[in-house]
Amino acid sequence: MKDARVVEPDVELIASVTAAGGADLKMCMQCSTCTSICSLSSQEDGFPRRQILHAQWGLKDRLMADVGPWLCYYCGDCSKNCPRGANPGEAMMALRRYLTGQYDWTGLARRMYRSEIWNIGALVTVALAIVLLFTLPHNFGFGMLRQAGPAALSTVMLDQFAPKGVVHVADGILALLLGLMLLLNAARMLRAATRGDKIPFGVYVRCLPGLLVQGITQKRWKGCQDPVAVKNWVRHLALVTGYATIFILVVVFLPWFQVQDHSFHWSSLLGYYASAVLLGATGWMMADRWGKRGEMHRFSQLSDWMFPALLFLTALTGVLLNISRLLDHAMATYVMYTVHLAVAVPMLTVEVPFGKWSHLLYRPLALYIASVKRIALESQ
Amino acid sequence: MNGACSKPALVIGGGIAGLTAAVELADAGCAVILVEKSPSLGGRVARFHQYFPKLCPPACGLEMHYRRLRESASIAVLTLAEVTEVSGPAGDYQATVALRPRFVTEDCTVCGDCAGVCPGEREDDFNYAMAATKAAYLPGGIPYPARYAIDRSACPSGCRRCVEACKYGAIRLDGETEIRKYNVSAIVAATGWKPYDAAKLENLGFGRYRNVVTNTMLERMAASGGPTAGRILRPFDGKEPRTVAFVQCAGSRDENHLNYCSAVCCAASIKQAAYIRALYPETAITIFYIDVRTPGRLEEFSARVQRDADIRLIKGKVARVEENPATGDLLVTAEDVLANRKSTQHFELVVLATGIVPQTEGLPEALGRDECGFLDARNGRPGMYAAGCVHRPGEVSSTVQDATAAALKALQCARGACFSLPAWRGPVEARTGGQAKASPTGRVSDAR
Amino acid sequence: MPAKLGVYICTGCAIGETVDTAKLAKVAGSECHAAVCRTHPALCGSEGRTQISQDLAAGAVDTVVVAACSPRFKAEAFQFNHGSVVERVNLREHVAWCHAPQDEDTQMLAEDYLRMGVARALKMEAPKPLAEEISKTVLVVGGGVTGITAALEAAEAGYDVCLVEKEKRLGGRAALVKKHFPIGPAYTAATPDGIQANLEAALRHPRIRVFHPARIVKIEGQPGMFDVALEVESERHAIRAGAIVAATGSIPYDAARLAHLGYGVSPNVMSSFEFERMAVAGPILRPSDGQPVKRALFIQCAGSRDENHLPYCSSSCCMTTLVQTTYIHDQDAQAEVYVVYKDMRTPGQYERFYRSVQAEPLNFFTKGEVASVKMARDGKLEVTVNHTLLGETIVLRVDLVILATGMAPNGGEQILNLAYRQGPGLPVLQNGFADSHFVCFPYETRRTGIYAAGAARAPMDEAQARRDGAGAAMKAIQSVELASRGRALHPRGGDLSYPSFFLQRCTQCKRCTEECPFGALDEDAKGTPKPNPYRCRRCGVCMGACPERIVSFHNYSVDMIASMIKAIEVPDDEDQPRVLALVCENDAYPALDRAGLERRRYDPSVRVIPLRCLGSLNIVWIADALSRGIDGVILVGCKYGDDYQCHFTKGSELAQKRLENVKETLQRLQLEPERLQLTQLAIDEWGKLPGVLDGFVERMRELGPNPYKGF
Repeated sequence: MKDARVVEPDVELIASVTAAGGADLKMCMQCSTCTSICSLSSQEDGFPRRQILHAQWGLKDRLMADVGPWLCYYCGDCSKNCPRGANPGEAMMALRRYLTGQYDWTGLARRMYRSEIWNIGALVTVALAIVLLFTLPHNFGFGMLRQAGPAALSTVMLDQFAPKGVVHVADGILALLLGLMLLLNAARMLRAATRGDKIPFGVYVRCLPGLLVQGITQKRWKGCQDPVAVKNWVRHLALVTGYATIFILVVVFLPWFQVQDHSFHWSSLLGYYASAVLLGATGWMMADRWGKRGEMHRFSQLSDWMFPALLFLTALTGVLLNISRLLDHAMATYVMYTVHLAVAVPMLTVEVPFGKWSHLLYRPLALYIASVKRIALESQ
Repeated sequence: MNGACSKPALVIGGGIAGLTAAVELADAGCAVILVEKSPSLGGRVARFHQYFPKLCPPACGLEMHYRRLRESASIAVLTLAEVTEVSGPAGDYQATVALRPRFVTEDCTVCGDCAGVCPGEREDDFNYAMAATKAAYLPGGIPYPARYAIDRSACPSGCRRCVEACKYGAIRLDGETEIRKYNVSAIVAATGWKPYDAAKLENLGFGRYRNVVTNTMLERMAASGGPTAGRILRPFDGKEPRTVAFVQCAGSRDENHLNYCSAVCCAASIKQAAYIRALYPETAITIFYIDVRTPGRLEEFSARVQRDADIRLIKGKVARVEENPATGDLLVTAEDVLANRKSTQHFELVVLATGIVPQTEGLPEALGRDECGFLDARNGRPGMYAAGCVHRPGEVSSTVQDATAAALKALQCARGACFSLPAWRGPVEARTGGQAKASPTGRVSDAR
Repeated sequence: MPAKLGVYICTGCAIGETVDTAKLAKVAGSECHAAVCRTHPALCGSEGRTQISQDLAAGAVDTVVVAACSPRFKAEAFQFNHGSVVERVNLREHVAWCHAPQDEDTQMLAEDYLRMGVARALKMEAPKPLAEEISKTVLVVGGGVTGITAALEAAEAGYDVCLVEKEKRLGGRAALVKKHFPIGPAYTAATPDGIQANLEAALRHPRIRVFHPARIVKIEGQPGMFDVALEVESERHAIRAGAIVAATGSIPYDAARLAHLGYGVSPNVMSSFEFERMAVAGPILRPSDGQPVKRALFIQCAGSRDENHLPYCSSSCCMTTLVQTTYIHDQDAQAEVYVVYKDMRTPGQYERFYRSVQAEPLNFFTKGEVASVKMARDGKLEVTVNHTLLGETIVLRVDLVILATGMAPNGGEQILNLAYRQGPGLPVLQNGFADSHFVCFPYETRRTGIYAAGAARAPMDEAQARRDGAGAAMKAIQSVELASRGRALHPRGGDLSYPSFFLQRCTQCKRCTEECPFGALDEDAKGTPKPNPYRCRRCGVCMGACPERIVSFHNYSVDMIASMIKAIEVPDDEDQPRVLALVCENDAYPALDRAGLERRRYDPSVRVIPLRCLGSLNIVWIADALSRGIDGVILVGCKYGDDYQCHFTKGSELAQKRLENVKETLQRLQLEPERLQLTQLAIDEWGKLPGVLDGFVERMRELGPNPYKGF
């Protein structure tokens, strides 16, 4: 048999996917109700039945080569209708968690998904680092209070506490580093998913626009033909805009965005918008999760809480920072600034390349890969 | 010993299981009280067009049973009757039976004059509401007892036309529910099943799309005495379908609906495919399944039918049925699991292979229920026994086999020896009288 | 002394409006010489019935002819406890409801039916019920799970039982099983065996005699008086039994024939039975080297559902495999277990067990077809599977392959050793299973009083086998009870009649002994039939077969039907054809009744005579009919062939054969063979029946009158 291939189940895979939320997928009897009911699953890329089968059988290479799990937006129709109680929707979620771990080359993601200690530990470590950074040195942070004396407490001297230039550069470096890490993982995903099939370079180029559109809008989500999904999509879109705004403000416009007096700059308006959206969206999301509203929120793991929670806190501390500044309450402002960073930085460093944040890139990339593969296939 | 029984046995349900239990008991010399809640015996099988695998009419076997009932004095048949209470110990039960009025007496000659003049109409439940009868009606199939019945709820108020029309004074519109008490030795619960309510399967469109029918409805369409006189016609436009889809496991093997396999639907659909093809040779059939379950000899039947190139089987459960409102045609979405291909196909008629739901309402709690809603399949309790689909879904011959076994349990009670073999498991409770003797192999073990 | 005939004509249900009942009464009086003849507007009413019983009581009549509705209606109304003959003439369904009112032809029809009914009534004789000494002992052959159940259940119903097992050990294969699949709530876990307890109970039951290891040398006789010769280790025993349950079980399909599934390539490929034995004996290890089993693979339908092996499904292998997977995981939770199936068959509540076994993380199920099982260099087995759910051909490298082999029947001619003219074994249906052909009568065998049960009857799982054992026991009990009352078994349950043979005129043609569907007739050396009335099912096939017409029943005889035919008035008038319809009383007759109930019209020149079974058709009737100038004879009976519906298995088929033979003689008599026809018709095809009859009459009209008319 030339096309015959030896099947060696990856027992470790079965265990981790089970641990990552796929506990019921063994129940699947391959009736394919899930794939048929799914409004996103198409003739070409059928899911979730196939992915569940591969998970049942521990076929790692199949799963790594498969972007299917990222094409699902978890409307939950499959879980609702599954005759076996195999919970396909959550199985796909588990697979996304598993894959995020597999794409990451440092192995940190895998660790954090498997153990909550690691996840929280990582965040705390970075947070502590930030706090130390603002307490130990003499030329800035709380060190600067000793030099400037009472003056620094009478009025807010943010530029001394956290010199714009330095922070701006640090921002840039951090963004660059994290971006790089993420891109590396994405590259691994791309390689795993396209290994073996011959795809002309032109096709990659042709599909790029789609990648951008999806990346920004995630509009495929609307394909889940049910009002809840559309609601979730709008909410998510808002969140993304808010996130993007604040990101740009911090990384590009920090010199104007970070002000210590009452001087007005248009960027602060954007800041207000972003904070509002971030607070609202993440708050609402967490509320849904808490109330287990909708299939998507019935099961939650730490990783599902961590990202919105940190984002919420970041925004919150940002707002408080701004208020204390406007009230010209110096000490409060310095403390808030530190806390703000002690939340934001860990969130970024941990969540962006290793955590749930990464789906921001994986999802559109998956769609991109899927279309690339499809077109390549058609052009053959 | 002679075959005499101390007391009669009570058989609840006049379907094939109950009829069998009753006739078997009577032939073994035991009096029987057979209680049926509808106006005629026959139960579900009376509504079938054909049995698999022989494709033979149920009426054939029912006629044999009815003939025994006509001739045998030891079976008392109570129709429109329900057991409302059972008390007392095994072997000596007091059973209370409520007989609803039929409004037509034994003097009825089935001449039909009453129906001739009757202005009232009622939904014909025998035909799963696909037809209507007059308020004065003769129950469908081969009615037993052969007597009209009147559905008073369908009578125009004050109407007495049937009373005037009846030459034999057989109509008593003032009939009332009658309560009777019986002292019985054993109880055989053979209350059978009902089809799963297909309307609960929202994604399959039953009730919303007229050309989505159930397998039980199809049986009536195909039956010579049915609403379409043996022709299979689309409810939407009365056309003969050229493409038919069978949706297996419509409710069965589904934790959201029936958490068990109904055991008969596969063979039933294959049978229906066979007779549709015989009726309309140009009609193509597709059966969507999870597993084809045709055990034993049914396998050969299934294989034979599947040799027909125009009967296609696709492994993959149907999850979506949509209608083209203009044509009434249906769009069926399923994945061909073996071909790894999801597709939406177009059919003129969709048949839902709905499953078996046990009819246990009003039965004594002592019979026990299992997590599937059936009576405990083990029949472990002395005195009360289940027979047929009320304790395990099964096709006719295994139901009859089961009813015959239950009849023996009842016979034991009637002979004053209520006994329960461990329901195939656990320690035996055989009340062996004589001194137990060891049996050295190679010898004859004989307690006498 | 001549019978005192009473003719009672009902004018109700449109009979009065359709036919001239006064004329009918005249016929009864002048032609039939009825002592009493009355008409009544509702004979079935209390008034009418009282009238009849009064006449009976007064001794004015002793033979009653009720000319009213079909005998299938109002049966209870016309039962009079005077032991007198009551004959029904069907003036309603067969005349009033299906023919033109106030019509000369309809009138002639009604009068013919009355004459025929009277003729029939006058040929009725009082029954002389069988009354021999009946043994009610039940012989159970086979000490497996089915036999043990049958024995215990029958014994508990108060019957003596003789249980015969060929092995030293009782319990059959079910006793060699480590665990059984769950057949009771919650249906989720395999359970240890409980048959041991039943086995003990059977051994110490005061009503059960167990013979083992024993062999049946010979069984002769008939229900109620079977003489069974046993041999228990060279020790002879003679038993008299009333009925027999044949629970001879099944044998595992020979795995040696499954080389294509790797049986034989390595000791690590074994049948599920061998695997079960290993599991019972101790740890599950690789037979080749005693190494632990890290990976095992089950191949379902090994031999079953396979044209080259067993065409049927063995029904229990899927459940057996599910249980056996638990053995492996109970021993080593880290072991991987693969199951390759065609379809997982876990009907009913068994589905719960399938689901619970699926939950095991290291169980791998796939539909697929095993292409090959090869031994790799490292001693592992390489199983290649096509058409898997994985969408490609896969190879699995495993330590152990278990073939879920099916069951073959252990019928065997030489087990019962019946001393029957038609052979020593139970007639089998398909693939050697002694199953019933009937969906609704699964215990109908062609050997009266002998009931196959369990896996000898059909492939079935253990739970079903136990139910079947109990069911067969019930049938056995029933057959001895009916025998003790001299009554027939199904399908003519309760019938007191039985055939008597006027052997002086027998020509030893052996037709009856060959054709009897139930092997009721034995033969002496010369070939003279030796009737066994308790084996008889009263179909009358022997009566139809006999060219010398020496077989008859007290209530059914060649002479009776012949005289009914003679009672038909055949007009010489060319354009008034007469057609005789001999119809099966079980299916065709009820169909004709239904046609009447539905007021379907058909040609009034048809005269219907119901027969017990078309198999009782004696060709002399055809000769009589044609010689009397009847233009054609149509037989309407049950479908025959593979899916026959005849309750006596081959009645209509035999009738067809006889018809073919007559047709040859017809030609010699210058008569068209088209004047004879047999139509197969199911009971629910009543809608077609009028068309069938009209069509036949039409053809007779085309053929022209029977040349023998008026002779």
